[in-house]
Amino acid sequence: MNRGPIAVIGSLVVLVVFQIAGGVLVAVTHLPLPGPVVGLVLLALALVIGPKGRQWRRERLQPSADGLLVLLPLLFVPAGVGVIAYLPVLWAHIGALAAALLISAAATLLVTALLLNSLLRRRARA
Amino acid sequence: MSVLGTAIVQNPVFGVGLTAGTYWGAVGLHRRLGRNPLLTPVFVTIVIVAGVLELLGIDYADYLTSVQPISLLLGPATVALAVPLVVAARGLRDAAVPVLVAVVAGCLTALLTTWGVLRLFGVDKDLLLSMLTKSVTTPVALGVSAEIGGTAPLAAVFSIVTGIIGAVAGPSLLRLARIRDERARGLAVGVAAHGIGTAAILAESEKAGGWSGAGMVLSALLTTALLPVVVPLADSAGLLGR
Repeated sequence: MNRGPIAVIGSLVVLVVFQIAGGVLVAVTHLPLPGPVVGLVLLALALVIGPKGRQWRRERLQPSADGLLVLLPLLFVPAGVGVIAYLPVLWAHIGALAAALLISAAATLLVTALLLNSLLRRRARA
Repeated sequence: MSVLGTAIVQNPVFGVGLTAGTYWGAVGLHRRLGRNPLLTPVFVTIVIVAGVLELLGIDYADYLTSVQPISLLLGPATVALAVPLVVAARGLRDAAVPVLVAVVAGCLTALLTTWGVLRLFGVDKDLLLSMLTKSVTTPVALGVSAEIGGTAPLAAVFSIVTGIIGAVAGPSLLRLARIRDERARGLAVGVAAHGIGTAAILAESEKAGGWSGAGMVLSALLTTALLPVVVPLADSAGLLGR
């Protein structure tokens, strides 16, 4: 019943409904969060708590979720292209920006990995 | 511009065609050249599209209007990130405390090192605010950046470049640090370098990829919850500079 291209539209509707629900929740509660992120949380909760969560994920979400997640990088391009307006600013601070990007990425990787690694190991021994 | 040129540029689907077409070509190039992370399709596409706009003298605002059908999908795609999160849920639940501790520590490290280095160099506040979301997946970085007063295109580019750094250097750096556990390798890459890093670590193993996806989503949620609260406080304390 859910097979075929029409399933993509159905699953897109589910995503849009959760995005709107997230937006409404933000508007009502004045949460300092982007609407789609709240929608993400609501959907994850619905899939975990809902009695038919697993079935919904496979049949009602997978068709468009898979497609959208594959396309995700393409969706960043319009925002990224806007950087042309800021090239002079970026260039003026290139040393600081490069240092921050590299140092922060390396530190984040090491802290997260070393910590999880030692916590998991300690638990395996216990 | 010639009549032909004007007819092409003013076509309402020009922006979508240029963007999608370039991306399609960039993905092909990426595959052909052994998936070199420096040729990450999104990065190549941004450079080429920006170059074409400069060359044709098209305003960014006009491009943004014509490419709206693409931008519009970013919301549903963000919501769709719930799916990989739920898929990885069981393994994560079994290690909930270690995972949460590692994610919190990783996110704080990302924020504090960025803040520290940029403050040390005396970089302006708007640039600093645009970089605080750099470790977070780009759609979330865009949303949170707008929330805390950063600049969306800068936030997007910092996020993409961070992803590329994590994808290029992450696996070898973790090897140097002798981290062999797939879960730790995956989660760290996801926290530090979101989706672009996840794509790279997924080539190592599916398990590492799943944990990376979880790291990406958890750090996105934590950063989203943290920054809009902390940034105004830090700002009023004068910690963000001018």
